[in-house]
Amino acid sequence: MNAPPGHAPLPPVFTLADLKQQLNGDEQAAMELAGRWLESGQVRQVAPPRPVFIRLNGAEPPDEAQLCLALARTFPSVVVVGGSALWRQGVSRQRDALLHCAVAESVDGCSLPGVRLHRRPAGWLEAVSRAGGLRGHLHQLPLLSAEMAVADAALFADVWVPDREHLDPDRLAAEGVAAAQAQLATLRDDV
Amino acid sequence: MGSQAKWTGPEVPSRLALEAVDNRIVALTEYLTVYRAGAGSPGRARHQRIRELRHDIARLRAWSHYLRGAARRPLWWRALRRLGIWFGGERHARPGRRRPRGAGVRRLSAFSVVDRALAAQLEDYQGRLLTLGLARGPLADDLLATRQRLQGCVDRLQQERRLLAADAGRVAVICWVLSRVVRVRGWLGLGEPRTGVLDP
Repeated sequence: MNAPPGHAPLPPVFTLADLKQQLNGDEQAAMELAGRWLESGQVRQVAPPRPVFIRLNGAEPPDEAQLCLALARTFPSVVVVGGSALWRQGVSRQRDALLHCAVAESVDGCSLPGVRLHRRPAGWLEAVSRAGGLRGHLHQLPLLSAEMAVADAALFADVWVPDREHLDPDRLAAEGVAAAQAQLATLRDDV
Repeated sequence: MGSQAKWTGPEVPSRLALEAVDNRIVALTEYLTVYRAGAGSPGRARHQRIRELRHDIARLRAWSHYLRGAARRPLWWRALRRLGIWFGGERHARPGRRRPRGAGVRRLSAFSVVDRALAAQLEDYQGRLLTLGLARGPLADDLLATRQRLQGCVDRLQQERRLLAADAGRVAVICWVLSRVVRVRGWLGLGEPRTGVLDP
């Protein structure tokens, strides 16, 4: 993928706004260039139709930092959930095969390899945050706390979690899970 | 005091402009929640970012109230409009950030905050057009109609941005006044002013 003539190359993750800026605000040229790159397969829309793109290097999958940046730029509300959050906090001994993330908005699809997006109702992020259910980060993405990850997986039942014997019981407080479940119960009607 | 030039700004705001501002409020509120939970660079820069996000959200809410008020034109709306003409009439768009705020984080002008909301909505429609452009073969009638509708939204939002740029000073005055009114009402426990719902 060539940068627009006379401009620095675009970063691996960029938006339509970045492209317009590179082309001195020429919207038509930016649309045509983005269209050509998409047709040739050199870039992908992270989650069509959102105007955030990721540059692809042939068959080589993007690294985790790029995936996280792409998700963060596409979805303000994205959070790592389920077994992905548990493994990255050392609570699970079983690693995730896909990065499981949740967003509190409608999603038509996600074209990132190795990522699975789960939909959550409006107000989910606020409820989780109010309950202190966000802990730590994977690059730029916040992680659910271990207790909240278990409570969320139990309520929505759409996300991968490791088997019970693969969880470290010393790092997962049962009362914490119960408290998180109580906090999420307010969202039950929206599920 | 500013000019008494005819206001070219939103007499009756479009549904698209209101949607753009409301969507941006939702997005910034989500970023704020994530930043509050500890995302982003640690320390002072994060606190400054949180403060700026709160400030931007307050100004967008103010502009949203103003746009909604334009449908019924109550007394407060007419007074605010007059204030905007008096004090903000001669200031035109200077997009970007202004006033350095310590280590790196600078405050956006009110015009830039609202303009970015329109730009984000515009790019959302352009993203849909790009996705539609990837469809193979001749487009069916309904897809052609969709493309036409999306292009219409893009054109309308581009027009809204041009109008806004001519009224940058007025946007600043209105956001400044209304965001403070909302804050004072909050302190008094009165909640946000009722503005009614704009029909689509």
